[in-house]
Amino acid sequence: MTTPARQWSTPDGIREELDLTLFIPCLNEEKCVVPTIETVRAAMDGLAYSYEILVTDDGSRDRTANVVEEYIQANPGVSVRLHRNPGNSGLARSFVDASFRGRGRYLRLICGDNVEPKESMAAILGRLGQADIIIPYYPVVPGKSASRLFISSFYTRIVNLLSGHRLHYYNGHPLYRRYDVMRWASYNYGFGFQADLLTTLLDEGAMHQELALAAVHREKGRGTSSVNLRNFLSVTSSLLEITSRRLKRYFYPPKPAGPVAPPAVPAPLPPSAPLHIMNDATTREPQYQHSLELVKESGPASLGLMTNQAWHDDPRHLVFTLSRYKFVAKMLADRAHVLEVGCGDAFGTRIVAQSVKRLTATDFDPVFVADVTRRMDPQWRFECKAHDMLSGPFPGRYDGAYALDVIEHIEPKDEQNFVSNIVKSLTREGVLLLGCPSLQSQAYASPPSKAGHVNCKTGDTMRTLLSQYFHNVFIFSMNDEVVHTGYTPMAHYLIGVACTRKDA
Amino acid sequence: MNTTPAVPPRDDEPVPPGVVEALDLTMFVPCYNEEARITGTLETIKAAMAEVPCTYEVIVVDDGSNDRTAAVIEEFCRTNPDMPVRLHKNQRNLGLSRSFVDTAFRSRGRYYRLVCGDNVEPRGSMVKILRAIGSADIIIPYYPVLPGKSGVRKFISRLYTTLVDLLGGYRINYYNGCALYRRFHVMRWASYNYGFGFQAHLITTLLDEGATYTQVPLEGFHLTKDRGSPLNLRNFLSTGHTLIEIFIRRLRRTFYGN
Repeated sequence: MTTPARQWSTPDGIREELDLTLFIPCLNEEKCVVPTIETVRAAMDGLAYSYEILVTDDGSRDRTANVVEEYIQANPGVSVRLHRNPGNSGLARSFVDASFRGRGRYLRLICGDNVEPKESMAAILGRLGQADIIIPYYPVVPGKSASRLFISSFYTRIVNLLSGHRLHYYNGHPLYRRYDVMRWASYNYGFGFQADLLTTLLDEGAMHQELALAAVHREKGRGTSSVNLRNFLSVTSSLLEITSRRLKRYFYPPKPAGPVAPPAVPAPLPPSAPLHIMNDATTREPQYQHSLELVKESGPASLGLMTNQAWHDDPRHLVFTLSRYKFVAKMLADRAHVLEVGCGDAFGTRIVAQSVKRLTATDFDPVFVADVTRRMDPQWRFECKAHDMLSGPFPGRYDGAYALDVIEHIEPKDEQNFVSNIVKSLTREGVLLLGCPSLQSQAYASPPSKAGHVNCKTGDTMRTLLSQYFHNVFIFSMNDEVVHTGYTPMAHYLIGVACTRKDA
Repeated sequence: MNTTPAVPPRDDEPVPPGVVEALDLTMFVPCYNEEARITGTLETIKAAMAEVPCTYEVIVVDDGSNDRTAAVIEEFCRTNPDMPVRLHKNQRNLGLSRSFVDTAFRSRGRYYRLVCGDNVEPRGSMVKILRAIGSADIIIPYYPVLPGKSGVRKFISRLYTTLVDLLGGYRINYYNGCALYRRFHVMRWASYNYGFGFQAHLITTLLDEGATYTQVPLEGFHLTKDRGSPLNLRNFLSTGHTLIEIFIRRLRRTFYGN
């Protein structure tokens, strides 16, 4: 298994022997199924995962099953298994059945008509282990009629509206944890089963990543039948189910886990393999020996969830992020108690903690708070709590507060609420820093980094927002890691520094 | 412990490769503030299992108790090292149906049964159910006579059964007893979404899927403590939801076949 270690273990009742199960459902695909298997193999060639291919013949009337059997016989070294449904069971049901038959830690559906290019497949599968769900979407779909585009986007909007989540596309084929499909999928839904499964998993706090892909052009018009009475009923049933879960969450929110224990001192991480090799090593220059001693004593530090991804996808972006924290650290130096709002994995928070007397970090996502707590270094301890600033002010009084890369994710209608709740926790002399990508920069942003940006600021709108609460507002520009006072429309990033509360 | 199942697998339904079956039976014992009764429950299970020749494990789930339930169970495990009992603590109260499904994924038995943590079921009844293991996919208990249950409660219970039978198109005597299931069936078909009605939902789903069943009459037992009334808004909504779902499946079966 080459899958990165995850925070939770396999339940006793299920078997995980491989990294990945690829499930290929087929209905009359005698011509396409073998090319599909070949595409999968070509995509997997570049990836170091153990995998198996499960083909389900969902009641084909052509030679699909024979073709697959012949392929298996001719390629004994390839792990392909064939299952024949007695009749036509449909996609949703075959998918869940396959999750029980598979043995991979992750699971993905690949359509049996070989529409997905090897490159898209490799892009999704290459992210295995980076989140619980890797969700593809297609920013541009050439050749799809306007009415189909409208229906598709309408469906996404409805599901987002009803579920309270915000995804780009519910009907792509995400990469799931196989256990998540076994545990949470319902066989009851036809066309809408993916929306039901995705929203359920998000309700359960699953980590997800969205991935923009070039659209797949379907050569045959198989989608024509997706608008019919049965699908309409089935989708309605999925939507009702999603709504009832939302209502349940709203009216009967999960009870809190009782008093929260103070973060435990984490046990030193077990040294990974290369460090074993280094156990008796000494460095050639004695002044570097301390670096070996430190790792032996306290183990290697690990990156947080987001920094890990940045370091993986775009290493220099980490520099930009950290330099923003350094700017905050300089502005808030020697403050008594500072509040960070939207800390994410809080990797850069230590830089601010180094300059201030006390620091409390908050994020609205408990997944990140758990990650921060797990990695907390006793020498650089700060408090980290889950809190949604839109639900009310965070308890306590702070003489400094900052939110980096948060305001652009807050809907414009909620921004007053967001800022005023932070301001309520500030002392009279408190300072607030807000940082976000400039609106002008979005023309150059990649689709994944643009995802969720609904409220980027210009220099003027940043000033207007902060001026409602503070007498003094200073706007700084940033390009890459450099902070300056240059022309804001040409800045990539903006930081507003505000002080002297108007209401105090 | 012998880990070869004593109950032969049915030929027509092999265990899916992704599922582990290493024992005959998993007993799932949910507890919420049962410090006074959980030891008695485990003693009853121990006595019952002495009469039934199958390999088993007991998984006790402490569903967010604020009393000493977990400590009492840990103490029991220490003093009964020969009995295969494991404790799982939920971080917070998750409710019965959700713990029921969660535990199916955490356990390793071929069959699966819920035993209430408040020690209400006598050893004899437990043995009677367990002796039927392997004779059908679902062994469903029912209680022809219920001493001590008020007329109103009996009426509501009867009404519920009749409604589920009517909407689902089956004829089962009682949906809320603790049936014995194939564990795989619980993993595959149970939905966590239903509160009080989850058993009716699961049983009717399995019957839709062509599962075999037998019904076993048991002597009604007297509840020694008041579990609180199940009549509240949340249960009403949850049950309504279950009934709608059962009815939708029935309609689907009628109009589109299975």
